[in-house]
Amino acid sequence: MSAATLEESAQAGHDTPRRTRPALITWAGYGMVLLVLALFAIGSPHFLQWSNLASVLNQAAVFAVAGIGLAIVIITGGDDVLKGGIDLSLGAVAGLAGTVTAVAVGAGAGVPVAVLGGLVVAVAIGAANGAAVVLGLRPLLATLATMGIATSLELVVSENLKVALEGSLFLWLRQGTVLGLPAAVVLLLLVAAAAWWALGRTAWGVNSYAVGQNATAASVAGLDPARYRFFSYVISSLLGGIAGVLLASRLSAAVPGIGAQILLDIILVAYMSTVFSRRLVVNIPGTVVAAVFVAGLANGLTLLGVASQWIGAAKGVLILLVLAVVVVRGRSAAK
Amino acid sequence: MVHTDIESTTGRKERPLPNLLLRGAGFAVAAALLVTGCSLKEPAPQSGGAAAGTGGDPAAAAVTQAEEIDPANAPSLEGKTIGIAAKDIVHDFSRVVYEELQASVEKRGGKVIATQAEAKDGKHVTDVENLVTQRPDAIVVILGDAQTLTPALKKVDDAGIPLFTVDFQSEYSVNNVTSDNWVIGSTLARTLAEDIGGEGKILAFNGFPGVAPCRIRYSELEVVLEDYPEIEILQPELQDKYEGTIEDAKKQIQDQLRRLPEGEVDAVWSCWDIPLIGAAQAIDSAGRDDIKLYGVDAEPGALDLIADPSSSYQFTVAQQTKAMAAKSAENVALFLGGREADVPNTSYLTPVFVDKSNVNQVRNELGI
Repeated sequence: MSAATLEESAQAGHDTPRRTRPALITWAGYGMVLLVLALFAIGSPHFLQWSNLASVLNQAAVFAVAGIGLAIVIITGGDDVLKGGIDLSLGAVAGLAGTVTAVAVGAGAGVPVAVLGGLVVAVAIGAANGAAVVLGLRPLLATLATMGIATSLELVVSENLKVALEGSLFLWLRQGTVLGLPAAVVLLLLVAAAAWWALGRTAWGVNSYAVGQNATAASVAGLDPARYRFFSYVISSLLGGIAGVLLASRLSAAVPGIGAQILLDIILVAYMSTVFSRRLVVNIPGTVVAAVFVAGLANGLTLLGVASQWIGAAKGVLILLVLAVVVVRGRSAAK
Repeated sequence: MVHTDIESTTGRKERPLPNLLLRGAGFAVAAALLVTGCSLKEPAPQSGGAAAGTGGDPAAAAVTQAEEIDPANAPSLEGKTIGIAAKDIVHDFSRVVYEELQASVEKRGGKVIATQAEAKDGKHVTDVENLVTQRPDAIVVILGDAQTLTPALKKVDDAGIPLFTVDFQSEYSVNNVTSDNWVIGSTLARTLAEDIGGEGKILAFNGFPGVAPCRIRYSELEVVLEDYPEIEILQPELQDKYEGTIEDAKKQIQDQLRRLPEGEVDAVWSCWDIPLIGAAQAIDSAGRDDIKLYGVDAEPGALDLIADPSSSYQFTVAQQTKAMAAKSAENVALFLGGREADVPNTSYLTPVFVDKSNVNQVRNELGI
């Protein structure tokens, strides 16, 4: 009798978390984000004003677009930070694409030609990354090398000067709106929707996840991992280039050395997307949410009047809190 | 839990009393210095001699010298919220202005929302945008880049928030507090030219031709050198960086010393001190006493080197950073207190020139 009770309760204790906890915890990442944002809203009446929200979304757009590029590389190359897919050149490529575009506009090229020029340079670096990785170089080292090349080319092209970026398209990207949404945010939504659809609804997307999670199994199944990885770097650089044009539009100039300033936040938002995924994998909607969250953190902490020297620390603590959810979920999944 | 974290971080903003007293003392020293006029080497012209080139419309730009600051008589900022956006706190100039400005506003009873952009143009824009959404009574921008920041400053203007700047000229600024960079640039250049005997070769760090104070100081160097045809700026010029500056400049100068044997280079010029601190480390440890260094900003590290008789570091320019911050806070208070007419477009503070003969005296008098 007592043994049966024990067994019953053990059974119940074993089953309960399996049935209920994962379902709840799946949403814990979003829950933490909403909790933090709610605190900001309570703390400052300005936080939820549309002009402030639009400003946060606008600030997030550059990081989200580049972050989607990095997410695709990580999905296809695997999320092991040292051996898996990573593109350290992304920030520098964004900077270079913005600079090439601005210099081309300054030299009298038409806006479409100038933007195309910037994106072609970005894609060329992506192709070099892809080729290096397919040859067997560690992505971490290969993209570190191309980061150096892109940074140096940017200095050569810009002569280490800020290059003004004038033109109606860039003005529109900076301050235009579509149905009340900032133009940069509309562009982000288009990029995110395309990437989400391609990864979730096409054979290419499903195969990319397969290659990233187990390349050996994928090649046994007849896929060519090298091909998927090569194109993931090309796509990543293309999106890095688009982010670079967005950033230069936002600043109304291409700023030398900006690549190094944005790289860490790009890496952060791509990896942080795992928190917003049922299976703890890097994903597109999560990347966008993470970018908005990171931009919202700095904004909200400023609105609350946190001294600027503490914002980095407060931001770090809140990000750790959200990431801690991954660990909790990892443990519950392992049980 | 999150909430407590935020509470405790904001709690840190309260300044302990001794610190306040110290700041008050510093303020008093700066104010006394302004009242008495300093007894230091070569004070700059005090009147409108430097009126040309204040940017925008020279006729409209009123030129003032440092005025007497009397905290007892100055208008209060009670009930006002002042947003502050600093470009960086990487070097001493911006760090001191940033801290003193906050202290000055709080001292007048105002509330401060302070941001600093870690020397990143993108963050500077974001900071200003975030400040605008909070509708402060005024925004003060400390340093900035006209090209990238102007659209954000237009948003400040569109929102009807009065904008003040420190060492940064903008068309949207009610008042800019700055040192007279034309005087700084020409004095720096002619001191260098005279010290090396009117002939020789110099290395110039010129990585920030787009930053107004550096642009002005460099163009003054060129103007002075027109009258010293025997002095040549070595090509290519050196590129200084905003981050990791000292280490990077040290490496660059070490490389240059290998390329340029004794007699091939006589001086190094820079529009700020930080790269020259690295340069001095390279030159002094190589024993190259044939090379002299000339910079601006009176960084503590540079002052230490100037005070060292064996160092190659010769000359720097102290800006009255604490007084600049206090002046800006005073202008904000005057403007918000309805005394717009008392606020000029530009408030100039007198630079103080520092060399090996007066470095200790200046440090004592300015408390730097």
